[in-house]
Amino acid sequence: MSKKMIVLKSSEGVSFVVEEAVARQSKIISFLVEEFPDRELPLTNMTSEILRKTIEYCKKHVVEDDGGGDSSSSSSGDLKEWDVKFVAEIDQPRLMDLLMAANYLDIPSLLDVTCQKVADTIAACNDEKEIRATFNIENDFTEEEVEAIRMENQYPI
Amino acid sequence: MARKSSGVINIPLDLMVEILEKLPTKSLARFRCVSYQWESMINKFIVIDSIMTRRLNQPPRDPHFLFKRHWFQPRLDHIPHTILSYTYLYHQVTDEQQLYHEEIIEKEEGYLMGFQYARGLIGFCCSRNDQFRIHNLTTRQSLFLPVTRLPGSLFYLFGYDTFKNQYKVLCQTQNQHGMPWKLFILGDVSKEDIQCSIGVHFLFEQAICINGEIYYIARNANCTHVLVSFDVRHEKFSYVQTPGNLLAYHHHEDLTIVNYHGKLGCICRNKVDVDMWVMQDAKKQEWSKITFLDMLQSLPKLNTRFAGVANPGGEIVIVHQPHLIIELALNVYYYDTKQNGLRRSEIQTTSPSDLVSIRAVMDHVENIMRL
Repeated sequence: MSKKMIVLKSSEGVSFVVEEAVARQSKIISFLVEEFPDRELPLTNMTSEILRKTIEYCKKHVVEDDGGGDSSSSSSGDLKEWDVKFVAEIDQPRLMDLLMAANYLDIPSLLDVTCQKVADTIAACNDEKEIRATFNIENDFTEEEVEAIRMENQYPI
Repeated sequence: MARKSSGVINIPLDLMVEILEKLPTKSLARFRCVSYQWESMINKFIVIDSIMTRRLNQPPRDPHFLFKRHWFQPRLDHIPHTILSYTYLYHQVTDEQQLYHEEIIEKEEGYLMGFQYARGLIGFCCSRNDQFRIHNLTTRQSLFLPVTRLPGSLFYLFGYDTFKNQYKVLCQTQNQHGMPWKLFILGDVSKEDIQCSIGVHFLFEQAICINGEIYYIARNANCTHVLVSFDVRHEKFSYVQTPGNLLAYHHHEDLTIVNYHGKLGCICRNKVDVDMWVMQDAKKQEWSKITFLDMLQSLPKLNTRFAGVANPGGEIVIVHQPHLIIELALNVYYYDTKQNGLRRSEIQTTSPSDLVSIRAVMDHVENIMRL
């Protein structure tokens, strides 16, 4: 029996043909497939690059339900390792785009991995200046206000 | 596609909160000064919500506090002491030599009294000026309560209202004659007077806050011991009915009130065994009793007292009385009520002294609320 395929279209108009089981990890796509079967699904807010990354993640995480117990491609330990490597290779701006994609498509596990990566990046920053630089955040505090907040917690910085 | 490279600032609020929730508490406290948006996100969405989840996600742990003071001093009210906090390093269990992280909270003069804990904050009173001090164990920020102008020596009750997310402190003098109690609400500059509807009574020694209710052992005008509860939210006092002659036990350290899985528990030491009374229904004031026959046999034959019940582990924690040699005084015993077994743990300290007194916090949560 051939597997059912669906077509996802990126913002640049590039079509991606994906197995339905892979794409159904997104709750949104799962819903759309049922409502509009045999239709191309336009994802106009997603670049081809981000969509390709998202599909790569979904392919790795798909659980095949047609075979026996060993049909799932990887063990959970391997998967975790793969996830870490997966997000480590992505640069900061693309990571944020991927996070937004995971949020939009409603893929909880991908959202969790990307959020964790962003949190790790924040935690690794030495001070608030580094965070602002990394994430393009404007400092809207005055020098005095920053000092006042700093005085409130006595952790050695 | 021409657009500014993405930054956190473009991310919806709910996602940003999700990311910040994954940060360690220390990072959250430090990085409040990134921007106005970050500060308000951390204060509004994380400080209140994440405390409970953090406790659930982490394995049980037991921070202990050592109140230490030097022994031989000419004047009793000028005894220098150091308060140290010992946090159990639950995430570094591989290194067996270093189980606790030591931190000096303060060096002071005088006695320390009325140690109480409420949801991440400790409160205590220093005899030198009778002022009550609240200390946040997570951020290390401290705050002194304003002077009350009440005559005589004072005692305090410190509690947390889970419903309104408010901390309150009550103050009364030992010389009261129907005088109103002073009520302070943390984060609110005003102070109120409230009348006590159950008559004159004095805090005897123990007070514990469980689910918005402060329980304490008091003496009434006839010098009998009574168990009193104070509803932190509704600011009402009431007597708690105790089974049989429970309060007759109360000499020295033979009766300890504890938080037993969110219920009020009284641990009473008899000659041979130990009873624990648990108030099963706070409204009907129904109690049940568990007896531990062998707990005292497995303990060293030295003066010990109960420090509380570990949460969520359920082990009864036993510490030494504060007049022993330092090596022994730092031993802590955990009695497993299910297996009836005893294990020993030792608090390592870098500053040995003549006299230590241990206070244990059983249900510690990290709290980055500003004082």
